Amino acid sequence: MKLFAINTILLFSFLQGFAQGYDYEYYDEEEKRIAWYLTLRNDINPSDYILGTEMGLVNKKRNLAAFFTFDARPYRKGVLEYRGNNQFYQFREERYFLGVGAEYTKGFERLPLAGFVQLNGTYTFGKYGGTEMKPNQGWLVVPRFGVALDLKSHGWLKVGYSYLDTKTYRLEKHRLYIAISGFLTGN
Amino acid sequence: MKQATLILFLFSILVFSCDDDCICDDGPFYADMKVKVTINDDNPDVFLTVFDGKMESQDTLIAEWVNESTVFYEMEAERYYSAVVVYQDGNRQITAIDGRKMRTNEDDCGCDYAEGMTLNLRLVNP
Repeated sequence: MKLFAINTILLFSFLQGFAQGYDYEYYDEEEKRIAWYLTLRNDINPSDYILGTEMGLVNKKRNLAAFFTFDARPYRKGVLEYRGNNQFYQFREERYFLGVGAEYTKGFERLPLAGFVQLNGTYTFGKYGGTEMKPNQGWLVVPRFGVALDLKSHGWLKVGYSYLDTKTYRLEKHRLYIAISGFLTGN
Repeated sequence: MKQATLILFLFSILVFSCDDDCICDDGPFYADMKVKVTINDDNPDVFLTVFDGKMESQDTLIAEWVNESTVFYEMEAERYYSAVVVYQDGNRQITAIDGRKMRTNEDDCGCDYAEGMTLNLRLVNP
């Protein structure tokens, strides 16, 4: 309890310090309205890890973004597939995702924070080591939502929830989403 | 000017001395292929099969009983190898498959050499 109280005080001191001299408009009016940005993002749960990049255009006035994505599992994951009659196959799976998406961001008053909601349509595919057999592939819709910390108009740090079904047999789909973005133009 | 000449002289010595010392082999190149398997009470020894290419090719290179959790084989580079082990896990039968290409790389002299690789056939949840 004591530790929780200390953590809360530290968090608010950090936010207060961060907000000092800060313009509470989520975006500066003088900035260009349309900007390119690049994101490094992670969808994590205890049994899987997906690393990806997102590149897109954001309309700062309307808080809307449209983007392309490429994600991959940065290692070969051991997966079990049931083939009937108590027979299982164990493969080492590589997994990739290519997609497009859109995001809406809503800034909170008097804090450098915003809420975000994102929909990411993506095509997933992969391969198994040592065999011609292929893992499941196809289209997915990945919803994500959470909070974004405005890094003084240089970009965002986002933390939230994502539902990512990799189509891998019996793999947990609920994930923690962590992403860091930076503007490439428009600042 | 004097300094530039000295640097050029030292650089040329470095370049030519490296070329003089380098004697590249044309290959073929060989390296260790590590195969990791699970050895436990249900599977004190397992039958390992290594194929040239993917397992569907059925081009068998090695087929033997193994009772150690890590085994090494010397293999030729720039070829794809796959390996299969069948485990018993209670009532379940698990066929573990893995495969990858053994690649070559270049050393500082620009000579090719084979890079070792690992096939992982360990049970993911034994």
